[in-house]
Amino acid sequence: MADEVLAVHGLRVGYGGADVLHGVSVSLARGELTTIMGANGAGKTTLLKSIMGLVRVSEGDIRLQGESLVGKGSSEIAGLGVALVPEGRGIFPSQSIESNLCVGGWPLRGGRKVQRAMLTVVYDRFSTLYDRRTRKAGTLSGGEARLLSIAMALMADPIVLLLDEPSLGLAPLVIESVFGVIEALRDEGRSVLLVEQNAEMALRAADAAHIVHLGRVTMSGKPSELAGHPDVQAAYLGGRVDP
Amino acid sequence: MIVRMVNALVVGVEQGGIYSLVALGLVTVYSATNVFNFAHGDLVMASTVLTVVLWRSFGVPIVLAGAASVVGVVVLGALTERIAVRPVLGHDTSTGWILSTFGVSIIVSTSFTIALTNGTSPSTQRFFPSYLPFHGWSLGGVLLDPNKLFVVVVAAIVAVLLVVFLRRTNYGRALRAVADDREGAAMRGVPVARISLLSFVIGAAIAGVTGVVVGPVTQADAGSGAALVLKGFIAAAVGGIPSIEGALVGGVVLGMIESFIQQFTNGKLIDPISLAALLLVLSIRPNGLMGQRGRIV
Amino acid sequence: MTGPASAPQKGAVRPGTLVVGVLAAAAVAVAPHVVSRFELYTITLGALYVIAVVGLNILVGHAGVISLGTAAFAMVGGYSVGIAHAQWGVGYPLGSVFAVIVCTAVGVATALAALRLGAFAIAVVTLAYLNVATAIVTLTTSITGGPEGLRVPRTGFSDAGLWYLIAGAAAVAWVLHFTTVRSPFGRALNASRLSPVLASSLGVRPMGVKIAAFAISAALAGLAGALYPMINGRVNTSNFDVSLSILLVLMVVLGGQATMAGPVVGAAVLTAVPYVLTHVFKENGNRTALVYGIFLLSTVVLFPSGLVGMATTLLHRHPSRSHRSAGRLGAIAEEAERGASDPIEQSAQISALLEPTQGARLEAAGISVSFGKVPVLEGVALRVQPGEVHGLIGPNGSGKTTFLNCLSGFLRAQGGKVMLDGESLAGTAAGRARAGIARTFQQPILEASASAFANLQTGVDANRKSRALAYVLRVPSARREARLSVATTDQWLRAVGLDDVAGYEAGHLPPGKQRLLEVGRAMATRPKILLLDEPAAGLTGQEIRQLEAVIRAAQAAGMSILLIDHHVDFVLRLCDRITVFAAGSVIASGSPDEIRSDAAVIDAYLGGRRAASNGGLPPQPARGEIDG
Repeated sequence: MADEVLAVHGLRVGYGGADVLHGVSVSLARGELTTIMGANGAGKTTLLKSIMGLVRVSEGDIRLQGESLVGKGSSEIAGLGVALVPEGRGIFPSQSIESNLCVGGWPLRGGRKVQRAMLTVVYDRFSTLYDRRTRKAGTLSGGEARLLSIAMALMADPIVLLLDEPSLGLAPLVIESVFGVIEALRDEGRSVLLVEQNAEMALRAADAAHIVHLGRVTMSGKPSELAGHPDVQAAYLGGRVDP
Repeated sequence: MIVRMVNALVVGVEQGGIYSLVALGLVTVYSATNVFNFAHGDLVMASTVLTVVLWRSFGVPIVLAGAASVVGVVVLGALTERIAVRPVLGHDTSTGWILSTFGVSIIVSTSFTIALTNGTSPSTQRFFPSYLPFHGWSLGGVLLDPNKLFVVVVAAIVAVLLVVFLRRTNYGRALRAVADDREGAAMRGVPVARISLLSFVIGAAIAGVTGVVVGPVTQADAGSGAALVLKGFIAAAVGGIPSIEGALVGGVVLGMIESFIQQFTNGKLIDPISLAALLLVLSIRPNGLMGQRGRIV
Repeated sequence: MTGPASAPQKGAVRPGTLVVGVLAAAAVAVAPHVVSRFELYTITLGALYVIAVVGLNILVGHAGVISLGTAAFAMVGGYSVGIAHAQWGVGYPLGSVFAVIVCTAVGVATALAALRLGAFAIAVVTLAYLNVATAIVTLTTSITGGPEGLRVPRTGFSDAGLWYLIAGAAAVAWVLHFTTVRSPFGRALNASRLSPVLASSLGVRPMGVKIAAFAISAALAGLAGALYPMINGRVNTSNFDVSLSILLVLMVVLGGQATMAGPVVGAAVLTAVPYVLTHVFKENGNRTALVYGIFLLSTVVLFPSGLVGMATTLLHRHPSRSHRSAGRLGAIAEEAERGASDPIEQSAQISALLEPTQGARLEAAGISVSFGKVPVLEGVALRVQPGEVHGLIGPNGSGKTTFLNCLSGFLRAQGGKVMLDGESLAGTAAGRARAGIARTFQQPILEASASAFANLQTGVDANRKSRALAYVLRVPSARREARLSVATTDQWLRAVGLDDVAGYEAGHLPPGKQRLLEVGRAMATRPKILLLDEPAAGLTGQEIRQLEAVIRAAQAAGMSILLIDHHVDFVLRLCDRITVFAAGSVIASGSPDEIRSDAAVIDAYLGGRRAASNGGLPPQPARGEIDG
């Protein structure tokens, strides 16, 4: 098995008495893009929130390069090298773009100089953000906001990048460009865990895929195995109700 | 007549400086925590009392006395966050902090009252001398009070410093992020609890500075906290929470309203009319004069 | 009922309470003969406090409005009596009535202005009430007698007589407070405090009931303020100061907010404290105030449920807090997994409860919504036929919940019309609920610490006919309606399969049962149309089957239903017709079979090219679009 940079094992997570995840196990290999797909309410966002330390874990383990993340706060986990691009807008509308990037770079060690350097790297990659850097983030369009959200996560120079439904609410062309950025990040050697409802885009970008249904992993494999598989379509439209 | 009006204007701005300073402190705390510290006015009072006691009764040089008071008040503010606010945020009701900070307000004001009335001069007030050797001068019939002008200048400086802090430093940006979207900030690795504490500390520091600066104007009075927080809140709400410019503007507006009432009608009407003004402004513009996003107050 | 339920929820008076009541009456009767004069004065004052605190408990504890201005209303009450006597020579009884009327009027007026503000603003503004009242009194010296104050009529009561009168008044006030809290109005107050959204969805106007609560509190404070000068013959501003307001709030909080015994316990403890302090520790006013502050802080931080709340917890009255009951709940959940109620019987029960029902026709056309510059819904049209179960599906973020919020009045659309049975539907959420729209929410909104029974009863309450006052005064027609409400609630619980958990706290039920409870509550309002927002989300297979049975039963009874859900198979099975949203527009509408094989629909869900015509749609706002 390739170098596992993130390993989730037997994760059980519940909200106030009811379990949302019933023993989920997934892993992310270094330099690869693994996608978690499934219908809404399946528990995908909860999985990312658990990794990020925002939700309490009842059972199971989460390891980043061998170090356990369970029980640690989100601030500490971010400091260890995990960055989350949240669902929805995920930016701070009342602040400027550069301010937003600085907030994203909070976990970065090394003070102002390192922050400046990181800003240069990020502006290099996202020239439109550089052009608009003094403008308020609330004025961005959907696609631009999504790119800003990803850029904020990159500011932390993370070991693992978590993305929560980046295609949500975006027009098809914009989705293509966003996914272009995501795939480029993977090609450069970043490890990416992508949660996505849009099965087609997800399978095209991924090196490995899992399907989550009602809090359990029901299918895992290579995208080539899953694409076109009737069960994938069934899981979304008219499949089994009971796992 | 003109002279009276100009006088009222000037006094309004001067008085407004005090309210602006109090409002700035309240708004700073609120912006990161969605909590208004009921004890904020008492923190200002505490600073004033500590300063004058250290300075006049113990002969400590004014700068040192002022600095020590600010430090003392900062400690009180941090304690308030830890003891009265943090534990309550997790409770069933979302408004427990109102009563708990009110409790802190009572504790602080009565403690100081007890301390002041215990000794040789059993009054809740202490005389706070002017900082400057002259007591004001008259410009064509218009009275200018240097102590009050000093307050206005300090209010402007504090506002500028706050703006710089919030817009140009990483901690300031983190504070605004927490105010914008608490969970979103946590998702980015911002230590939300620590930032909340920081906002209380900054708010208390502002209260400390306020107390030192307004001493000659308000004098030291152990029971003045409640009135101060009320006025400061009215100023902030009228100006528009959580805007910093709003706190400045609101303070001046409130100061003007009060001085005009004082100048042209009966001083006792100040409280009812200020309250009525608050309700009026908020019913027309729910987000204050410099209004911002959705229902805040 | 099989669960360890607490009978008081049903309005009956428990034997324990009766015993306490008898003992209390005996103590009151005996008191003047066994205590000293000063002690009699103290407990008379305490009884006076009870009158004000009972009203404040309704306002602060139940309505959740933190008012720090009670002393101002007491002042108004006292001065009303004095002025009535000075100006018109009116005696005490009439003077007191006058005082109550004045205070109620002032209370309503100030509430109308102040309650629109946020919670902190209300606290600060009401704290200033006393300043305002004092200023007004000082400015109208000719009427109010200036610093001397006013004399009040002589009453001719002895000290003991005064005690009986005031203790009697306090008892009456407490009983009325009891009946008020146990009435539908009281339940509406609790709902408004916990969730204005929930209250609106049940047809309650949160602002309206809060204003009423404020008026009640003002009236009772005014009464207490009117009776106070009986003790010393005079009223002036020094009798009413800020520490009185603080003391009264502290009595509510320390005793236990929103509990029955809280006001009395709080008043008793806090009347005893200054007595102890003055007599044992030779105390002056300042240290007493300091003690109040410490009490307030520690109570709110450490034991927010107050003394009565703590006592109740210690006595294991709340079933779901004890370890034993948690196990029982688990057992019940497992049992439910194995086999639910008989669907045919369930259907018959629900039909009987809903009869006569005529499901309404709902027509929405041209609905457009934008959040700022971001369009979320564009010209959406949808029609639900009478008695139809109409499904609404679509990918995440396509605007389904936004649409539901528009229909139910929680969000104002920028364009379009909604018609219910041919009549235009407009206005607030509460108004639409009363017009016959019932709904559930993505996360069930329940009163977590109330029982399942109490929660469902709020739905049944929506159909009551008697006025609030009739309930408070326990008029026979209201009592009949209350008994009927209890019986109907029991029937509903049985019909949706929740009768075994009726007494358990709603917050401790498993999600499947919480969902059923919310759906049952919505159905119990006998709506013209029921809007269900993702009811199957997070449910197990068995729970989904139970939900399906309940929905089918309602459909059989003729109810119109609009069902949003992500379990597409569930929707395809259950619905007569289905509409599909994508990116804020309707992309398909038809029978389940048509939808199942519609290429555009499959595309929309699995990605690829969208069928929507405009490609540059900005993103959806974050979740939680409900605009309370």
